Amino acid sequence: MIELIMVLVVLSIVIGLGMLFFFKANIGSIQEKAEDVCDLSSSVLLSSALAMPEMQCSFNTHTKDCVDTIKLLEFKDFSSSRDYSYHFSSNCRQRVSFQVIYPEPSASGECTDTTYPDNCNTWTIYTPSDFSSDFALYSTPASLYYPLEDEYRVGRLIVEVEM
Amino acid sequence: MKKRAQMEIFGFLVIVILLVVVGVIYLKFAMTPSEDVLSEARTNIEVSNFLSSIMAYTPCPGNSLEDAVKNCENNGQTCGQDACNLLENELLSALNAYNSAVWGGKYDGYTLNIELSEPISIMQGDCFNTVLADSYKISTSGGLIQVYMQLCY
Repeated sequence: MIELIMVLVVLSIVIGLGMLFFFKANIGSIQEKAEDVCDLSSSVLLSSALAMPEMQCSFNTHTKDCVDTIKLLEFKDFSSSRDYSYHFSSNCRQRVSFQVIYPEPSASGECTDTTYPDNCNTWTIYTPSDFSSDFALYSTPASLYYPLEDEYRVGRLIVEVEM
Repeated sequence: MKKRAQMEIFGFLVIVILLVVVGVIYLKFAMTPSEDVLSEARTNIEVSNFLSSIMAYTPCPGNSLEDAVKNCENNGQTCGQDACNLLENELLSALNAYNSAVWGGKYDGYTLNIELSEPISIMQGDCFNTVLADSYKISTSGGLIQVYMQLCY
């Protein structure tokens, strides 16, 4: 009888350890899945943001594959409203910005009505509140259009995903 | 009789332990993440977007590098310079600027081939390992001109 109880105890310990390993592996897998969802979300945003009518260039109602920098200046001011929060941070908290790369801008910093077009290089169009400093950065090249000068420059769309 | 029963229980225990060990090993391999397809897709889009952005770039107002390609085919000028020279200089400068500012110099080399009647080939650095490539088509009255870009890392 004692032997049977001992065997059952050992068996329970073995099964318990097995379950512990299984659930630990499972939790790790769920965390990985969550990271994958954020990864996917940032990739979708990298493609969709460039085609948003709020930012995309349009000439007499015809759209073109570029981003209008004047539209960006305006968009910055109202993008923190609820509708856009849902668009930019529905799955994961993401900061979205544009940056000029070529030709190398003479000055760096945020573009505002006073610094645009030549004394700035960045448009931060959406920042979630209390955005952490721990984030993963994804970017894709974008053509930036300057309507006042009728110029196109090479820039990039940056999506920073909070970890 | 009692000893035989003990032996059988011990054998059963050994089998259970073996099964648990095999199960844990299986789970470990089953949960190994698959190849990062998303990252690869993102990089391919990046190359494609870079090509279209650089072709839209205007070295001077009203004249894009796409115009320079067309003018180069006709031995013409763009922004008051020889279109072919301007094209080569600007493409190389833009690639160098983007590679150092954004890609952190991760690409060891790049090649750009423009299929004109007198083809232009721009090469920089080494191209021994993995290659990312894409093309951009420019429509002209004489047909399509293709611009191929390869990034090597």
